[in-house]
Amino acid sequence: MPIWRPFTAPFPWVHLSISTDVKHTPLLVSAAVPVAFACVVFVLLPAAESVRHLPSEAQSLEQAYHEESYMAGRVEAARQPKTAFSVDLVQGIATLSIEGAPVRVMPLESVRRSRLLTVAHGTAPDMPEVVSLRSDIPHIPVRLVHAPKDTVEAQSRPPDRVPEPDEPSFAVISMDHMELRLTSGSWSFARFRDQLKERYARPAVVPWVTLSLPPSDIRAIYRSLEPGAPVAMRLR
Amino acid sequence: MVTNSMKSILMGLQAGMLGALVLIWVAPTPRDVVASWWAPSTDSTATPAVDAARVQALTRRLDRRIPAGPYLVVSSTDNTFRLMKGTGLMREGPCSTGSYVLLKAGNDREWLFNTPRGVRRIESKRTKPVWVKPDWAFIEMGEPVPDAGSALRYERGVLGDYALSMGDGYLVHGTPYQRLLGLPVSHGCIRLGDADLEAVYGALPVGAPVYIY
Repeated sequence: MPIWRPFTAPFPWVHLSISTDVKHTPLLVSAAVPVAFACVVFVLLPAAESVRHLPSEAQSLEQAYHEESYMAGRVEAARQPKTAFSVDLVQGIATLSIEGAPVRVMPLESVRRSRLLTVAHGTAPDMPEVVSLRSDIPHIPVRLVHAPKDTVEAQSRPPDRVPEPDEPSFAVISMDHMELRLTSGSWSFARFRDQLKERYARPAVVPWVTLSLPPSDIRAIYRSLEPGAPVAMRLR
Repeated sequence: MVTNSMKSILMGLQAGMLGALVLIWVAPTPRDVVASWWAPSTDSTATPAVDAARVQALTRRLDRRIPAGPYLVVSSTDNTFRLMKGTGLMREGPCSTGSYVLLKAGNDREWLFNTPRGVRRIESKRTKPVWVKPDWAFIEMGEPVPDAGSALRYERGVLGDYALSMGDGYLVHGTPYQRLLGLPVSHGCIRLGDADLEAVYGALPVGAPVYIY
């Protein structure tokens, strides 16, 4: 038995390619079939589907690149009672504001953006709104406590434990046809699981911007925003 | 007997499946690239010109939304406060906001101790405040709830030297539990340290906004 056999046993093609005569044409053709199938199902069809659904009549994303549109979005957001989120990639800051008053201004550590955002248009409505939010920490950190029956029982209870500050590693703000992804850079199983879901469960192409922020900023943004909250963006 | 061709096909399929798995894992990136090829490209001539005067007008409108007088900004996630005047910082420090404890009593009554987010305004100010204990204060201690006007409802000294009411029973007040400042331990009110409370009480007039996020 060749000395490499125990190491190549789990990978028969390696072993066979070393030890036998391989017919290259059938090998290449049969190898190309699964790759081509995956390419069509997971890359080409979702890409075609997402491009087909770009609303042609919608406000051009290009307008969001302009300062004028960004400022108009912030003024419009200031009229609403909900906490608003604005992102200015030119100045590298994200801002939480309530009725126009900036309550938290956060410098961005780094930014990555979808390639689709740099060339495409027609994916952002006039005033993007938060459709849904998700993260690896609860949106409302509720702790359930049952009232004691009497004072004796209350006094025999251990003191109420103050919760540890929960640090998110990521939060995703979904809007119509776009996502803002906030990451703290630290690895976590929850984020890995979210990436898996993104890859397999929702293969549609969504233009995205990834903002790196400290966990405390991510927590403040995630817990302050709610569905329907206005968002203003200046992408370039 | 497996022929060399069959072996080659089997080997190719296994290699191809491994390649397909790798492709599926990295799929979001090529998907994004392919979609960007196919998407209608931006027509630069169609984009509106930026009107500098209009940008300045919008900036002024946005700046006018910032209160000119003193106001309070409270972070219920960090449990910190900032006393501001316009865009200037007057004072900042730790505070305590709602604990998010959901207290359930046996008779289907429940209370969530959270500090409501959004804007509130200072409705009234008072010194040496007396706490009028609500029902939950007795229920969470396992004590019988007294009648509405009972003397047992009134407790002095627990709210510090000053209290600023924001409506709906929510106050900015002091606390004997100074070591817990910076932690979410209150029943929904905003607790401040003694010196901070005095500064906030002195600076904020009735009607001043309190931004809670």
